[in-house]
Order: sequence, then structure tokens, then C-alpha cells
Amino acid sequence: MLQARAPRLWRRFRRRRLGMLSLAGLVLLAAVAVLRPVLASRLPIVCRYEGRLYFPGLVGVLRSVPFASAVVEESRPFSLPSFDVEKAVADSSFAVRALIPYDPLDYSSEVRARPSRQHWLGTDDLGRDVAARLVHGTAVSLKVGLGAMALAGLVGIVLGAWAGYAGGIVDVVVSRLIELVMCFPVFFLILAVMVWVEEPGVTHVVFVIGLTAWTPIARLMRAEMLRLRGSEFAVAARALGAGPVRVLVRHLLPNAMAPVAVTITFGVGHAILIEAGLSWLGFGVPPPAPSWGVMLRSAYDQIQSAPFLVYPPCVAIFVTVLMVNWLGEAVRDAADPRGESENLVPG
Amino acid sequence: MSPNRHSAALAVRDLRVEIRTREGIVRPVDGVSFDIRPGRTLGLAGESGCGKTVSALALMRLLPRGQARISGGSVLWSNGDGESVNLATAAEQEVRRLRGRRLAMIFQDPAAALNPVFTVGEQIAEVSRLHLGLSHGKAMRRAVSLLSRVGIADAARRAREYPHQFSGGMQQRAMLAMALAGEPGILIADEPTTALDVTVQAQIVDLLRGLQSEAGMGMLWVTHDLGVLAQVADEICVMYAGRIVERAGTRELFANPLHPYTQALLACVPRLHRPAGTGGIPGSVPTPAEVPPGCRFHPRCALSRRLAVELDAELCVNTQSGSVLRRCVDEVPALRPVGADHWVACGEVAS
Amino acid sequence: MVRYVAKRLLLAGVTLVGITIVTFAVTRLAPGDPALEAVSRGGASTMSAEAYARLRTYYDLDQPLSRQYAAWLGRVVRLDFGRSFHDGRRVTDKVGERLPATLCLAGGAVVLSLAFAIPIGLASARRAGGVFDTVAGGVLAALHSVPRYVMAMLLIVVVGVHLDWFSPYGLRSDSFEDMSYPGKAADLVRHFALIVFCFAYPLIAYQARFIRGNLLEVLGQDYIRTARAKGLSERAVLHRHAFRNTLLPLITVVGLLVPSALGGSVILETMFQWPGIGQLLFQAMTQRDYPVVMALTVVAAVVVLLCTLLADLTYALADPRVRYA
Repeated sequence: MLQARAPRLWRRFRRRRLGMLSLAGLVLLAAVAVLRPVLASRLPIVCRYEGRLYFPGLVGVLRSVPFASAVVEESRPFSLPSFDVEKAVADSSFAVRALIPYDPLDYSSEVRARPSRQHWLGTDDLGRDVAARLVHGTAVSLKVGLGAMALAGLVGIVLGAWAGYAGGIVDVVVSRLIELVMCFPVFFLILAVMVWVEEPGVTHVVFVIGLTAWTPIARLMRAEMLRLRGSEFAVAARALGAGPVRVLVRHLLPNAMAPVAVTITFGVGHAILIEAGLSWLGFGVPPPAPSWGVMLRSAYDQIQSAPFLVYPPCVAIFVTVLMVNWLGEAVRDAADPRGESENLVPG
Repeated sequence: MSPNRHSAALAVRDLRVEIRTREGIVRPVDGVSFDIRPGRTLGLAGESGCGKTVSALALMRLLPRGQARISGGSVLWSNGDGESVNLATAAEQEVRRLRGRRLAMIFQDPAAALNPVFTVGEQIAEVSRLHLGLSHGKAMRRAVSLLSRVGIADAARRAREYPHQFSGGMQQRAMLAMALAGEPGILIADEPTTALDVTVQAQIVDLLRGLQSEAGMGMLWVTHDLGVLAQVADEICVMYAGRIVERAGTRELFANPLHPYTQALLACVPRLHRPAGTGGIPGSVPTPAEVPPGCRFHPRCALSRRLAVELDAELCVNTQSGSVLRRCVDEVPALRPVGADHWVACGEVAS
Repeated sequence: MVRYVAKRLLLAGVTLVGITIVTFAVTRLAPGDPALEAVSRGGASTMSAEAYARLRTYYDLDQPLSRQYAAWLGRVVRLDFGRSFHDGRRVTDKVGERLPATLCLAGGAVVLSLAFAIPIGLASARRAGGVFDTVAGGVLAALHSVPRYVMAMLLIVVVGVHLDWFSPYGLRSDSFEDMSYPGKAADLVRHFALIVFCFAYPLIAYQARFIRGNLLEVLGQDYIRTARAKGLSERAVLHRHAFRNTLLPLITVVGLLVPSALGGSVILETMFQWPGIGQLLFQAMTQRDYPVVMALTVVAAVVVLLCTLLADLTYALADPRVRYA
């Protein structure tokens, strides 16, 4: 059923220009996040040093793949803190530097420099290159956005499907739980939980956002299940002797996935916003990390002396969220044929 | 009360309606003419989809904006006093002045036609306030008296209720009270009894007949139900695929139906001494997008097919739906008089 | 109707109990002893041995969990949330003095957004697909995608730095006392306008789109045709007959927008240094002032619960179909 559905969805989606544009933009953003060690790093991508070729940037990309750090070794001596990269590159006969040859955490004496050829977007109060931080912040945002919504999607789909399909006491309990969690304004609940976290990191943020963002998904899933439970194909599947789990997983879930996918897509944008907000407040990703929210905070703190710092994180957050929203809208329009008939003239 | 109320009339000539669809422009009403005379009831009959409701809406200029429009012909309203307005071309403001005041309309589904968030009384009073300039209090009192006039008991209390608290029959009575509120000379009733129970239907039919003779309104009664028209109509137009195929006095039409379509329709009406024809008319009304050439009824016409069997092959032509007369495909039959007060649009019958 | 209200109230009661349990659980199930946590983390400077003792008594830490919850709930019902770790003042007082500023914001935002959204929605629906509809729809969709705090930052930079009109922070300017009365009024208005706008613009976008969509749906109904058949002008049809039917769902939507507005208040109030409960939450968080954090969480959840409940009940009261069901 899912096999028959996905290509049709894709065909309809492909016709939506804004949706395709957003998808392309987000893929590009993901590429930036993955390739950040060759985009913004003080380590060169390729460098001939003492007669040998080194690939510190590429190694960095490889090592950022989950679990790969156990297999791929660090590129010594470039990775050593005491190693003078600038000197090595200067001495080298052959070196390709990263597009933005700065690390997001590297301090310099060039504090609050206006945008220039050296620092495209300027430097912040500690002399860190804003462009480099922006590139690395992409990874934080996408990690939180995708991670949190993967978690929320899992919780929401399981609880919602269970409640809608099983009904009875399960439904009552889950429905109450959904309403209960929805009563807490997002930041209040998250902050109330974060206040107990000793040293918040990306993982904490992912978990806290994920565990508060599942309610709309669960509610939608439950409604879809209630709708589909009595549908003819579900009854037919049961009549053919399919067990409840099989009916649920093989027949009902695939049919309910399209609207849920739309909600999850919008949720990614929401999670990115919450992360930046939390980090701005100082309860998300902790400060030295290059989160867009942290950057926004440091811009806020020196808005008088360096107002130009405000724009990069603002634009990054806005554009990312806008693309996610456009993508969500396009998926929604593609998934919901009723949206098409809305403009149709009745005969 | 307007002195000339009893002489308002509506003359419809060659009315055409266009609807824009994705497939292109279609004409659900394509050259329809009839007259609504003072104090008389004209029945407009036909299967669903034949364009009779679109015609009725067009008379009131109530076609959905931006989708359908009157593309030709005239709808001449006159009050017998020398005042006349062509509703097909008049300015929107002019049409609004007449709507609800000189021409009123009631609809098929009264439950949907009443606004759920206003009381029935408010909705009726709105008309008197708008057209007769009554104050709120006076209009409400008038609404109550109108409600009792259409046979609603305890009207003062009922006027303060909301539409969903009314039964279907009472909702249609309320619609009627609303239509009467402007003291119109002409009433257009679009399938006024279709959505109602059979027993309630009879009550509404009686009520409408009584009110009409009392007020002397000219009336257009649109329905697919020839049985109802036998009771109420003075004259009947039978519509098929956007055109009138037969027009005659009620008695004449039932006694002497000439068009094969009318005959087929009448065969479907159950009568006491004869069971209803089985299976109705074979085939279905063509959608406006796919009207056949020539006589629009020819693919379903029993007469044409029978004659095709009897007559020479050279007079016939083979179509998707079998062998029919060539002239039925080639010629568009016009509505021609065949007797006193009887017109028919069929080449074979007329000749 | 009575049954519906009773059922709704009962469900709200269940949720209310749930809110207290969740809040209590967040406090108590967090790793460690909240009193000790507070001492070790709040920093010795702010946390005396006396405060620690007070905290232990407040949480009845030597009692079993159920008893602790019961005792805590008993105090919460009497609006006793204990004392602030930070300055020892009663939490209820601290929250109470911050509420009006936030309520002003929320109320102002709702009024402002409706004042814009209703005319825009009506005008868009009147000529759907027309020039106004297209332009307004595009602008609002773009606005809707700008996160509130991004907009706030941009406004602060533009108004406070680039244009240098006034310092956009707080309720009023520092020189407020020296101003003339009209000057004071203008000062209050422009401080209020800035933050209220940040609260309101996504609401405007959302509500206008909602009203437009709803109106278009209503305009296709049979009773709109009836209203036209009466001879009413298009204006009367739209404003009286169609809009009245849109009003009901709109009430619900406004009620449901409260959580997002409250949630947004934390960052916005902190950014604009607006002395509301959002800013208080931020301050309490930085000071690890748990009693205040917990009190605010309960209060916020209860406010949201009440708003949803009110939205539901008003809907029921306003809709004759529900009222007489």
C-alpha cells in the first residue's frame, strides 16, 4: 500500500515549485552541515606537510559520521591543539584551505570586526568568525530539528495509533495525557525540565523538545486511526483473518502516514525555533557551541556596539524555518487531494 | 400593498447560461423561453441535470459569481404598470431592489437554506426591514403574523427559535414566510417539496396553492415530479439538456404528450390504474459538456429508433447508441406549435 | 447543553489534577534532593542553611511521596507556592505583580490582531483571488514565517540602533519622569506598541487566513444564496450572514492561540525587558529559583486550560445548534 502511495505523492509534490525549491534548499543546508569541516575550518582540506599529503578536512567530514570516529583516525599532527596550522600551511608547497579558514571556536584579537574580505560576516565579541559559526550552527539546528522530531514522531505515532486503534481505557488515558501536555506552554514545560539538567547539551535539548512536541502528532494519529478503523479495507483485512497488529501496521498506518508526515515536517521547523530560543535564553546548547540561538544571544548582548551581528543568525533561522514550512505546505497539498479540488469549479 | 401586484409578469426569451469549467465553457441552459403570468403557475419539469434549477437561479441572477453567467437572452420583468426591467442585463443594484421584493424564491433544501445562527423570526423580519423599511419591532411582529399565515402554530414563540429547532416541513414554511415578506408578485419555487416527507409534501403543496390564489402571485414551480405539477401547474414546460422540448397546458400535456421524452417521463409517474413504467428512461441526461448534436434527446429516443427500424436505411444513421433517424442527428428541432396551447420540439412529431 | 458543560468541566478537572501531578513530578522526580540540589547549585551565596531547612519543610522531604504531594497540593490550592530562593519573598506575590504586564500584552495582542485580521479576512474573502487577496495573502504568509524573536531582534536593531528613536526596552524610557503628559503617553504607547506588535503579527496572519478560508466555505452555503435572494447587498451578505457564521470558530481559534502566545512571552519579554511572567520565568531559571519556576509552570498551564475551556464553552453558548442540543 505504501509502495503504491509514495510515487504518487512524489509525482504530485514535484509539481509544486515552492516545495521543490525548499527541498533543494534544505538538501543544500544538510550538505553544508555535513561538509562543515571542509567549509569552515582552520584545518586545510589538503596539505603537503613535511613531504607527506594530509587530508585533515576530509578526515573531519568522515569523522563526523556517527560511530565513524572509532574507525577513522584523527589527522595528526593537524588535529593536535599545539600544532601551528597557519605555519604548516604557509610552509607547505601545496595546500587547499577550507572556504572559510576559521574554526567556529577560535578566538582572535580581531573583536567585533565588521564584515570584510577576511571575515565575510564579521567577527563577534571574542573575535570568532561569524560565517564559520553560522556554518557549524547549521549542524546543531538540523540535529536538533531532525532528532527531536524523530523522537516526537516515534512517541506520537505509537501512542496515537495505540489510542485510536485500541480505544477504551487506553484511548481515555492517552487523550487525557495529550490534553495535559498541551496545557503547558512550550517554553514553560521545557524550561521547567531544563532547570534540572546539570549541563545541558544537544542531546538534552533533543530529548526535551522531542518529549514535549509529540502531542499534535499523537492527536492526529489517533483521529486518523479512529477514521480508518471502521473503513472498508480495514474491515476487509480483518475479515480475511489478519490479526490486529497486522491490520494496524500493514493497512492502517500507511494510510495515516501522509498527514502525520506533514505535521512532523512542520514540527522540524518548530523544533529548530525552540532550540534557538532555548539557546538564546541560555538553557539550550551551552554558549561556546556555535548554535544560531547562542549567536543571536551574543548579538543581542552587544546590539549597540555591533548591530551587524544580528543579521546572520536572524536570516539563517528565518530562511531555514521558511523552507521547512514551504516544504510542509507542499507535502500537505500533495498529500491532500481535497486541497486541489478546492479551486475546482463545480460543474 | 402594491396596486399592481396582481399583474406582475416575467417574460423569459432565449435565455442562455454559460458555466466555465476546467474543460471549457458549457451551456446548461441553451435558449429557453417561457412566460410567468400573473396569478398563474408555470411548471418547469425535467430530470436532474437538465438545467431547470440553473434557469430558476438565472431568473433571480443568483448564479454563482465568477463561475456561471447569463450569456444571452432576456428576462423581462414587468409590473403591469409600464415599469419593466430586463433582469438579464440590469445593474446589480437594480436586481437587488427587485429580489425579495418583486420576485422571491424558495429552495429545495430548507434546512440548508436557513442561516443557522439567526432566529427564524430575525431572518423573516430582515426582508420587511430591507424592502418595506419597517422598524425592528414592527418587522418582528410582521414575521410572527407571516409565520402564522404559513400555518405555524404558536408563531410568536417559534419566531424566536433557530432553524434547527424546526422540522423540515416547518423550515420550508418559514422559507415561504420569508419569501412572502416582501409581498412579491412572482414566486420561484425550486423543488420546494423534494426534500420533504410525502405527507409533508402534500401539506406544502396545498399551502402554496392557497397562498398563490390568495395573493395572486405568478409562480414558477421547478420540479422533476410531474405528479406534483399535475396538481399545481396551469402550464408545463418540459426541459431536456438545457432546452424546452414541449410546452402545453397541464391538462393537454397529460392527455396528449407528444414529445417522446415527455411520454417517457409520464410513463415513470405512478398512477392508480397503472404501475409506473419499469426502469425509467434508458440512458441518462447528457452533461452540458457532452450534449449530442441535433436533437439532444436522440440517443435515448424510442421514437427515433422505432422509426429507424421501420423506415428506409438511407433516412437512418448508425450512432453509438444504435440506429436513429438521420434528421434527429442533423437538425436541431425548434419548438413549434402543434395545436392550441401546445408546442413541441421534435421534427417527427411536428410533421 | 448542561450535560455538555458538565462533561467539559469534569474533563478540565481531570486535566487540572494532571497538571499538578506533572509539575510535582518534575520537581520531585528530578535527580537528587531538590533542597540539596538548590544548595549545591544555587550557589552558597544565595542559599543559606536556613533556606535549606525551609525548603526541606516546604517539600516535606521526610514524608512519603503521596503525603508530600497531598501537602504540596493543599498549599497550591491556597495559592501558597512557598518563598523564593532568591530573595525570600512570597512566590505568590512575585508572580502576582508580574501577571498584569503579561495579561496586558496578551489582551493587547488579541485585540490588535483581531482589529487587523477581521477586515483583512473580510476583504480577502470578498474578492478571493483578486489583487488585494493575493497581495495580503503573500505578505501575511511571509510575516507568519518570521519567528517572533527574530522579528523582535530586527525591530530592536532598527528602532533602537539604526534609527535611534528610543531605547526599546522595558515599560518606559529612563527619562520618563521628565516628560510632559502627552510625552509620557507617547512613550508608553511606543514601548507597548513594539512588543505587542511582536506578539500580534503572527496572530494577524493566522487569523486573517482562518477568517478568509472560513468565509469562503460559508459563502458557498445555501443560506448565503437565500440571503442574496432576499435582495441584501453583497456587503450585508458578507458582514452579517457570512461573518456571523465565522465568528464561532474564530472564538475557539483565539482561545487556542493563548498557549503559543504565553510560550512566546518568555523570550519576547526577556528581549524587551518587559516585567511580565515570561521574564520572571527567565530570571527564576537563571537564579535556579525552583519555587518560582514551578509556580509559573502551574499558573501558565492553568491559564491555558481556562482559555481552552472558555473557548469551548463560549463556542457552545454562542452556537444555537449546540446551545439547544
